[in-house]
Amino acid sequence: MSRAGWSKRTQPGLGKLGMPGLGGAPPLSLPLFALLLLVVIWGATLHFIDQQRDAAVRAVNASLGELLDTYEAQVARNLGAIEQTLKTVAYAVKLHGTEHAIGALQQEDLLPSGLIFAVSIADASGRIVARNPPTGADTVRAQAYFAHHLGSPSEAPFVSESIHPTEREAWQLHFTRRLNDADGGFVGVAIVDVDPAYFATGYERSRQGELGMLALFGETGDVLAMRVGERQFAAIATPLPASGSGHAAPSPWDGVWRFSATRALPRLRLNVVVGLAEREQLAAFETRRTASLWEAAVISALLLGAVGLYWLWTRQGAKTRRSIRLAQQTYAAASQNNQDAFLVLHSVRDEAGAIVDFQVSEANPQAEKMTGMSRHDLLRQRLSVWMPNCAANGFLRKLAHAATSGGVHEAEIENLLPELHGAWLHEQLVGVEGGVVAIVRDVSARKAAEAKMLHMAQHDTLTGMPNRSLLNFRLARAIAHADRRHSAVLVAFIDLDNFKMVNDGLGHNAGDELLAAIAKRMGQCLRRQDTLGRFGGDEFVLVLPAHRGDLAPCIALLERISAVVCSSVEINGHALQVSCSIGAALYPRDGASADTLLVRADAAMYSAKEAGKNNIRFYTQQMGARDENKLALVEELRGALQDDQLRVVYQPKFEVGTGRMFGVEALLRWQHPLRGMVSPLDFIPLAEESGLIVPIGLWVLETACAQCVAWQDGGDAPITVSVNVSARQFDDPTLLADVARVLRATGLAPARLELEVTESLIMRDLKGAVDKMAQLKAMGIALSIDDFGTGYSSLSALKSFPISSLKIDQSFVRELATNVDDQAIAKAIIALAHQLQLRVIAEGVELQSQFEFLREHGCDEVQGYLFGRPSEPAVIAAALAAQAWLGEPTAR
Amino acid sequence: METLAMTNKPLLLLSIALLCGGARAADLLVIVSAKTPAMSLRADQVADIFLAQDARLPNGANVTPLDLPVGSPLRDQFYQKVAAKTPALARAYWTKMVFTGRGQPPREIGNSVAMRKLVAANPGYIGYIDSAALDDSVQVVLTVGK
Repeated sequence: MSRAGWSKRTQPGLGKLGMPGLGGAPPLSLPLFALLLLVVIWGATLHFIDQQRDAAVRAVNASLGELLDTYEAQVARNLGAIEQTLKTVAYAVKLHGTEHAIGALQQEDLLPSGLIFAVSIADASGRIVARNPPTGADTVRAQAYFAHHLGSPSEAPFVSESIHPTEREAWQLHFTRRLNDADGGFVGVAIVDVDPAYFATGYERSRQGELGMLALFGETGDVLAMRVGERQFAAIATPLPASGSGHAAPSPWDGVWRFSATRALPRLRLNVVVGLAEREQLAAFETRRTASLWEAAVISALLLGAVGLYWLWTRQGAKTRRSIRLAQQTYAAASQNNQDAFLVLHSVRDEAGAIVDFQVSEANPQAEKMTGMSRHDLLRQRLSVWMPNCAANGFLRKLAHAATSGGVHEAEIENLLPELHGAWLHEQLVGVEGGVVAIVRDVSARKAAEAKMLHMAQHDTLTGMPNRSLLNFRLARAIAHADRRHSAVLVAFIDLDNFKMVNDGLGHNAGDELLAAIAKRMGQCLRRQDTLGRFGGDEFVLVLPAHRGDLAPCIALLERISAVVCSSVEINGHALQVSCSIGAALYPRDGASADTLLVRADAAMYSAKEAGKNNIRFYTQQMGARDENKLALVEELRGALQDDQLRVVYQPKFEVGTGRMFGVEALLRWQHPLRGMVSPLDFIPLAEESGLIVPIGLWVLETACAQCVAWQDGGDAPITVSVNVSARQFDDPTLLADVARVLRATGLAPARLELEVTESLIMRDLKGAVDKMAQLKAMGIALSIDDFGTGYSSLSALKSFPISSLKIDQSFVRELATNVDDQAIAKAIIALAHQLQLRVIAEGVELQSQFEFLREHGCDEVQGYLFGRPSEPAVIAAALAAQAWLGEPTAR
Repeated sequence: METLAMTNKPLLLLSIALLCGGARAADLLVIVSAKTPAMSLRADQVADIFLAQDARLPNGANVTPLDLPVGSPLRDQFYQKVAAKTPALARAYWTKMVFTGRGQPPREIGNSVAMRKLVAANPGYIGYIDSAALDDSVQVVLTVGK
């Protein structure tokens, strides 16, 4: 394509957006014009045909006139000859008498040829006395003409047809004359008999065809002789055809349409008639007419075809123009309002055809913003002028590559071009014919946000230190590095001693401040290659690259850290002092993987804590035994969920007042194939630690909800189901969505579900926990505080909890009958709950005495072995059924 | 051939006799007066004269044809041989000729002898006769075979 073509295509004129116009549609006048032409064509054709027909009819009538003249002349002459013969015979009879007259005339060769004319003489009695040729009837007495001549003195000739012709006497026309003697007396009749066909002999097929007609009619429509083609007609009665009408009419005897003409021969009271068949005479005209109609039809079809094609063509053209205009408008709208900068760059080539420069041929408002130049200044701008460095920094080469190779070249680049604003740019270079379209977007903000998010994802907000995920990554990298260098990595777990006391005593803010200060101090001890991260709470992890066989620098560093932690920190006017316990594990000696190293460092840290805090311990095999067991158990727990080793049992809960079982608590059990039943106290903390608690907890929730619905569907009275939610689960951002999905999937009414959260869980992040609980409550779910009394709930916070009940921890219930302190706590909890309009439930009730105490002091609900152990669903169903049947409480 | 003749002798003799007798009995001769200069005519020339298509002899002299009566076998034979017309065709021909006024059929003469006499006496006549009626008064211008 030419440059002009390219520039046309890429310079849409940036017209205003609007409704697509209707311009360019095929004009309506075209069909009208075609219609007019058709009218003219057919009008002319029909007129021409009409004229042709008139001419043909005129010709037929002219021909008819000639025929009639000829035929009339022939008939008249023949009749004259016959009359003459009759006169001659009459004369001969006067000279020779009736009997000898024929012979005398024959002698003189005065008779017409016997081949055609039969001449005879009848005497006064009707007997034939002479004849030529010699054969024929003997008497004519019965013939009408004999009576006529006998009765009439006239000597005028008389024409008649034979009556009752017989086989022997063929049909004849009789021309007769009365024979008189000298005195005028009747002596007989002179007769000339002629075959009627004789009068139609003048028929010429060359002129009259196969259906023409010659006829001799009597005075009144009696046909004396008629010939149509080769056929002879005689003695038929038909009206005499009207003469000179000039039109064809159907002939009565054969239905053929004929032009006919008639002329009277008055003396003998005869009529001659000629006819020409319309079909034959107008055959040529008909052929021409058909041809003319065909011509007109073909011309019409061609005209319609041409007009149709033209119309389609213009329509197609209009459509194409319209779609081009739409495309241009769309492009204009898209580029005008696009957040990307559009620059259309037109290649400039040298003589050899290589691209040496570009010229800006289009730019949108966003491009103006990005370049800081107006569109007017941008247009026609040479790239080499605008960006003098473009050749040096490779930008020109990149554009040229896109222009020559075509396609889309997309990249996100750090901006090195001072002419364009933005630190990070997303560029799309689209190679088109003759140039490049550059679509550039400033992605600096997104890049910054991404970087920030990445940092947030990898760092602890409080201290700004790497979090668990980044630390894991750094550790893995350090291990890989150590592998290559045959060096070592030291992993240390640092846990602040007594930090909880600070938190509880001075509040979270003080605790946070302390953490931040200590973290800062610890960070100052580090070398460049070291990483310190916060794992959450007061746990820090240190990754120190080390030399094999020379751990002294690392140990010195650990001791320095231990020392800086111990220095006092002033917060809110208090001089606070904490210590730390440090456990360390060494790669590769203590473990080959990051996980193993962390677990072992953790074990060492616990060991240090057990040894009296403010201590540094390295991992030893002895510490390992417990941890190996733990690691194995985590692996097995991972498989337990898939292998169906986990199940849920249900412990019934009763109302103290009525004794009615109103709900159950879902409890998790692990039936290990080798270890047997594993205590929840053993595996739940493991699950919590490893994060497995999230999928397991979700499974418990699903199972319990489905079971609750199943009881209900089985016909049992609806009960509530309580499910414990662990801290890890509660923190999971998908908790709300998961609960909603499970409720939807199982069909359990939200009011039938109660989630139990622990007091300590809430206290870790009071505001966040209360918000989340409020959202759960908004879904219609009941919430209760589990193990109440074990934590350090601030009583003022308790009233803001969106909960409906409190659960007295079983540790208070256990010695309720005997321990006065526990009795006081239980009584206080019950009183407190009732003050806050909460219900109270006591768990772990095993003895009647415990129950008596609780009932006495107004506890609302109870659960425990005294009433029902955690049971299989079927047992619960049976109990529900029994309760329904008895209609009375099962509790004592 | 010899053996064939020997075996079929009676049949062969009979055939010869029949042939000779037939030829003599049915020969038809077209004649003009002996007084006219000697000539001979072809069949088509004779047909033209008898069908009124031509009224002159090849030598330029006017000539009038004479016919035997309608229905005579010799007449039928004559038209059949000379003009290839059956009696019906001949009649149709003359009907048209007469009606349209283009000609009249020849005058009819009662028999071959009367014909011969009339022709012999009038050099302007032409006629046809049975060969049996031939004599020196007329000359044969065409012999129409069987």
